Amino acid sequence: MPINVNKLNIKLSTLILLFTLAGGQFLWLHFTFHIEPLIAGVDSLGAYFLMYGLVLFIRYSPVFYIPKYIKYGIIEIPSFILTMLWVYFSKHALLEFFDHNQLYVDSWDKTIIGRIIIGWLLLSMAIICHLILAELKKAEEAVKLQEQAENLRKEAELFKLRQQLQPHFLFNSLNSINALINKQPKDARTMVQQLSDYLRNTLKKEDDRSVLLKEELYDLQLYLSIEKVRFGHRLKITEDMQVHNEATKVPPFLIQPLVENAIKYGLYGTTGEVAITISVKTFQGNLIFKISNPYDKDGVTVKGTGFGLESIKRRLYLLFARNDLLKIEKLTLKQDEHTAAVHLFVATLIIPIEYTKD
Amino acid sequence: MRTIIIDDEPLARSLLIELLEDHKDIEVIAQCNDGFEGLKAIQELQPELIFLDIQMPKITGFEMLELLDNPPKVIFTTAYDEFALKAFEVNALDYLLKPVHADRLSGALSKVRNYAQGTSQLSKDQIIPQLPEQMQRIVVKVNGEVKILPLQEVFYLEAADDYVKIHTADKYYLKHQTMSHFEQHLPEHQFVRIHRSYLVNIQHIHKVDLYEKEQYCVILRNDVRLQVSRTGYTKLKAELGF
Repeated sequence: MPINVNKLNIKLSTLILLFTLAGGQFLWLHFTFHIEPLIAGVDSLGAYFLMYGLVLFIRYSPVFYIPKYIKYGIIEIPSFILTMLWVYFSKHALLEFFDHNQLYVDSWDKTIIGRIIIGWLLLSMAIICHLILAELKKAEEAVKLQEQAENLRKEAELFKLRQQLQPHFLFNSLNSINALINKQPKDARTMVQQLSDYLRNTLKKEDDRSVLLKEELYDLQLYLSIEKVRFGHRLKITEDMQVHNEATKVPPFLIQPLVENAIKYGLYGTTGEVAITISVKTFQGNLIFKISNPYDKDGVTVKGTGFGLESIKRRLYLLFARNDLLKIEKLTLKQDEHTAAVHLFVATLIIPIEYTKD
Repeated sequence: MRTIIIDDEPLARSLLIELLEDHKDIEVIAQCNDGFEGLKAIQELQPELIFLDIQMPKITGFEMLELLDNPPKVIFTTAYDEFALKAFEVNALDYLLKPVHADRLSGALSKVRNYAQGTSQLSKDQIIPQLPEQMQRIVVKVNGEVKILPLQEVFYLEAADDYVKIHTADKYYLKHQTMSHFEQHLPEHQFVRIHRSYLVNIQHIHKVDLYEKEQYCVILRNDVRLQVSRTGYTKLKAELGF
């Protein structure tokens, strides 16, 4: 909702108002005090020209940003000070020119109260207008900021969606299905079902709502079966899941990215067989999820290394305000002298358990 | 046309083979699981065309191509890779998006056939897409073995005719590449072109010395001295802030 204030209109209105008042003053001086038209004209025009200057000063001087704690009642103080200045300066400037005209000099004493009242009202109004305009401007800026925030939120949501869909995984899986259709139609069908279940479940999950561990592990199984179809010749997955309480709940998007990370670095960091071991158990009110993958000790991984892990850490911190819930170790295993050493990357995730109430 | 398919997913390869059955002039002579197997097969079998996946174990398809002196014609196959797609916009013979469409495959193959009839050899720059992203490592070949050099191990690069000598603390590796290619793709705040012939890793600079009137040289941590040109000195000054 944009707020539109026509600034030109406000300026014109101010000028018309000031001219009208100058006209009134001219008539007042001329007819009530019998001042000759020239002097009365110069007096009223000069005084209101000065007034216009003061109004502009109120509007545009940075000094005139009245602090918030000054409420509207106190506006009369600065406007009174400005009024006194206005009267003082117009009196001295005008009397400089017309001090020979006694009638005019006398009229000042009689009109000064009237002049102060008119000036005071005008300047108070000017300040009130200024404050209202400033408020409107602020509101306008707030609306703009809100729109920007809204855009950012939408972008973040899209990003999340893209993350969840994992285009690389999705398109490669579709490619595999395409390959299976002709020769192994049954496998193709199974994979379509697994892929659609997996996607549906992932899209359903929300950041801040915990899910049942058994559902999370079921989704993990779906994911692993798809990856096995794609990389079955290399992937050897050993699982050890020991979860006894059916009601155990965990936050989503913690286990899944860890598994993706392990598979990705296992598959792309090494050549040959990739042995991945996954274990889940409960210990002292915590769920311990452990996953290990081989890595290349001398390899230099390409971009994005560790980003997945960083975001899991960040997420754990946001959820539990703890920094010690994800542990990363690098191990070297050597069975005997004849076999080559195996370098393992082990990630241990500790999740404080919640249980469903019902 | 003798063709090799290089992809780390067996199903992706079998799909391509199935689709290629409609193109009698394409003869698939080998399939490879990764860039290493790919390099070996290309050198032994000298194919005319390769289908190349980008994300593969240890070295990417791009990196594998860089190691070939006379690369064959290349059709990239990729699922979804924003960087790769950006690269293709700049320069590529052709690319196929997975899942591979039969129509797109036919289109790519007719492009290849047209090239085959016209210019016989494509220049290296035409085949290797210019990667807009920064290099994070350098892949080199030593006695037929592929070696991956992390950038922090690289001391400096030296121009040597058509090659670039990549110097580490005590060794050097040759790579068929131009200095300007490295200058463009190495992180600009880490590698500074101090001379027409030298691109130096500023992390390994021990000191900058005056050795003649208005002539400077840098001394690296392994005591190697390199001449610095006048413009090189300005760049070095800006980067090191002295």
